[in-house]
Amino acid sequence: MTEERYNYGTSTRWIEGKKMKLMVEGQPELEVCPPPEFGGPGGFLTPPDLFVASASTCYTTTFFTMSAKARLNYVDFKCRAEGTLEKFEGKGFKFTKIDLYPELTIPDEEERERAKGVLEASKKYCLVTNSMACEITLNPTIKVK
Amino acid sequence: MSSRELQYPDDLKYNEEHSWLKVEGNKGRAGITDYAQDQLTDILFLELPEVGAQVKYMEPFGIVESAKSTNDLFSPVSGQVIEVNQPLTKRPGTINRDPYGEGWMIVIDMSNPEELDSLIPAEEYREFVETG
Repeated sequence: MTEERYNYGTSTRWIEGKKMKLMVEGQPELEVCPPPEFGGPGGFLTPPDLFVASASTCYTTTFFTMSAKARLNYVDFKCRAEGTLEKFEGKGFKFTKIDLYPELTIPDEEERERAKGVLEASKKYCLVTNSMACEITLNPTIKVK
Repeated sequence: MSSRELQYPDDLKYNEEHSWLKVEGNKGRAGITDYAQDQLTDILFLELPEVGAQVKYMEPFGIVESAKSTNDLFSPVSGQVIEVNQPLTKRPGTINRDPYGEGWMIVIDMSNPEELDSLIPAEEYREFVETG
């Protein structure tokens, strides 16, 4: 039994060839295609991009929440994510790993430990990566400026 | 929440706001219990009083914020704060790892030692948290 429940809806519509529209109510439409390695034309967002982006964007929004709770001052934050898609004999492809590379710049060296705790908590409480079946690794960098 | 067994050291006194007190003569060292840190989950922020501040029995002396919630810290006794674990504010996660050791918060010079009678021993505190 859950304490709270939210629903999120998206829809797709074929445009032409292997191109589709991705629609989320109230948001601009995006054009999405398969990646070139799966027959797509290239130059468009792909489902694997969106999958990996969902991890990094959710991690980042969780960082916003956790850093606010921690009253942590920072001057910059960015997060790169790399997903690994692998083929399994007879089972097709699946993502086996997403590596998150958050880079946080703080103004005070004394806050390094707390900053580390915030980055770790952001992974622990990230609802998207917690929902993914593949391994998620956290590879943080903390800079002082 | 932790899967390990929560600790309730016998040499400490407790209150129902989940603070502990270790009596050291006229002084008392205070922090929050293993149960409290477990309920709070990952602690991200801690605000403690300055040395010299007056704290009052069962009144807030600080704030703790975790991934889950923000809570006041309640003083188990009245008196003057004579020591503050200031480094803890830079490493609040220490409270999760060692709530009764390095996670101590303040030392109070007790002004009313009779208040100790209202604190409860370990076994009673364990019963209190286990029976909800």
